Amino acid sequence: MNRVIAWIMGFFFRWLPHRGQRALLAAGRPDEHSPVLVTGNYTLTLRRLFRDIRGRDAWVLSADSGGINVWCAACGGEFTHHQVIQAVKTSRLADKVAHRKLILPALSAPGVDAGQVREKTGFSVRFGPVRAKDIPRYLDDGMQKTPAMRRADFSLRHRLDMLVSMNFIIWLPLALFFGMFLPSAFWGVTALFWGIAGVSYLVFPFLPGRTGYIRMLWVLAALVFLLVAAGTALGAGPLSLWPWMMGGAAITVAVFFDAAGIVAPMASDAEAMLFALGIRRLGGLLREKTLGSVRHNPRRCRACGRCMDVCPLEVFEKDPETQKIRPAKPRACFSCGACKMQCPQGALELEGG
Amino acid sequence: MFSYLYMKILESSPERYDRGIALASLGGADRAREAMVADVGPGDRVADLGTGTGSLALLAAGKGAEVTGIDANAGMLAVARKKLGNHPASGRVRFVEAGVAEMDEVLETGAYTVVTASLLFSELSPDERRYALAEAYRALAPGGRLVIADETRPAGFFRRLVYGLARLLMVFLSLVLVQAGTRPVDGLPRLAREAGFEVDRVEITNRLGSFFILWAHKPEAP
Repeated sequence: MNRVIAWIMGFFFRWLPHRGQRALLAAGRPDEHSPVLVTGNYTLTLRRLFRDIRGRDAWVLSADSGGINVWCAACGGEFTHHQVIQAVKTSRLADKVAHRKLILPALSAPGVDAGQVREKTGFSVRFGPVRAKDIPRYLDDGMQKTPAMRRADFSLRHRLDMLVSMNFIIWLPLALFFGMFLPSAFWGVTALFWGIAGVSYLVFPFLPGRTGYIRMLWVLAALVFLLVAAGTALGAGPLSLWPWMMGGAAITVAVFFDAAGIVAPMASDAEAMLFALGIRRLGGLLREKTLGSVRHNPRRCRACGRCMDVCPLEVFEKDPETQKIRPAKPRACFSCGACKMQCPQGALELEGG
Repeated sequence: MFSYLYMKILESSPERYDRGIALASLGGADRAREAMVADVGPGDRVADLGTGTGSLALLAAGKGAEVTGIDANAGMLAVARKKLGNHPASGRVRFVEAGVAEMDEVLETGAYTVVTASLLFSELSPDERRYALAEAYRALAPGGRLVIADETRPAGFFRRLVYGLARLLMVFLSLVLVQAGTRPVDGLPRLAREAGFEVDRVEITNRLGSFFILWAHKPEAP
């Protein structure tokens, strides 16, 4: 029963948190030398992690992320060094393993101060690959990451995964409304909804425009064009399908409300909008840091490379001659804050954009 | 990232917490708190774990005890501090923002005569419960009392059925409204014994049998 609920939550209601257990869990038959993989207690995260490391002996330390995925929780202040320290101490991990190393998800870097974890628990932190499926190879290669393991790519597969899970909850009230009050339009609306959502998620990376809302205009234009063409072809006049235009436009706006933050390595439009509307704080989110891009202070930088290690977008680069680090692609930065959190010299700041 | 935001919008505010609890327990929460600190008095040093909005801490302080209330939720503590403002016993209470795992940093060893925890253990994982009990044992002086009030699964088939149905509704509501999942605390007396405590009595305080108060103490000589 719990597994069925977890599957439904993970597949259709990914906007809602779903808490898994917080505990030190065994994958395979770990012993005192086995690696310790720390993650958040989101049921979907735990399920996928166990699937991806099947056949390995490892400890999985499930720390409190409020039932939210690691990246969102780390950026939002729900999954930080506090939760990791709590998990290490209350699970008595130090009595169960002989080593003092933790492997954390790369995308937890915006929230977890590795220095604090070390100071309070004696365990040193390494940030592993972005995706759990790379963990076996990462372990085999002596905890070395390839550039691809560092990169958060929003591939077709990722976008298709997001398509159903993020839009189902928008479609559901529509479906209930039309199912009850306008059953004749139910299938039309459903087709229109998933057509717009599907096309938008598929073509999103290829649309021109700096923000998701600008890219939305292309989809709106295409929608109007298609419906005008269809109306004309049916001989009923170019604007005869106006109810579908209005409905389609509303659906497009709903689908694009936060699309940039979901399917692309871009800052969230929805956050930016709230920020612009004067909402500067909402929980840990929308701290001043959220919007803008990274600024590097070369005088403080000691070129340790931790920023390069945790940046999911390869913004930083080490000059092969001078061995100095510089933000080579500052425009790619969407200010997740991972580099700033990990920089031991305070050489990185996020600037308001 | 936006799911997080959505969640925060839904999250209940600490200001509403006290009223919500009082309502949900039909006044039972007040009676339970009175019972928990019935034998607390001047000279006692109380550590209240998961103090929340500080109701129990202030009650104990009102009876003359020195109280340290700890809670990991800064929003709840802000409400607690506001209540403290013009309370006659405010000089005897301090609130510290700390979670269960930070008890070792906040509570001095053997310095307390009473450790209380109301509705905290149902929010903890099994590991965290063991850890909290071990830390409570450490913080208490020999002979010190442990008083824990929380939710449990009632005994008996019919009561369990009623409780199960009520809980199903509550789980759904709490998931939607506050995103907080709690689980009833089973087997706490055993865990307390494992931590070294001697359990004095466990009292079921409501008719449904879903709420209990546990009294235990740390032995004089280990």
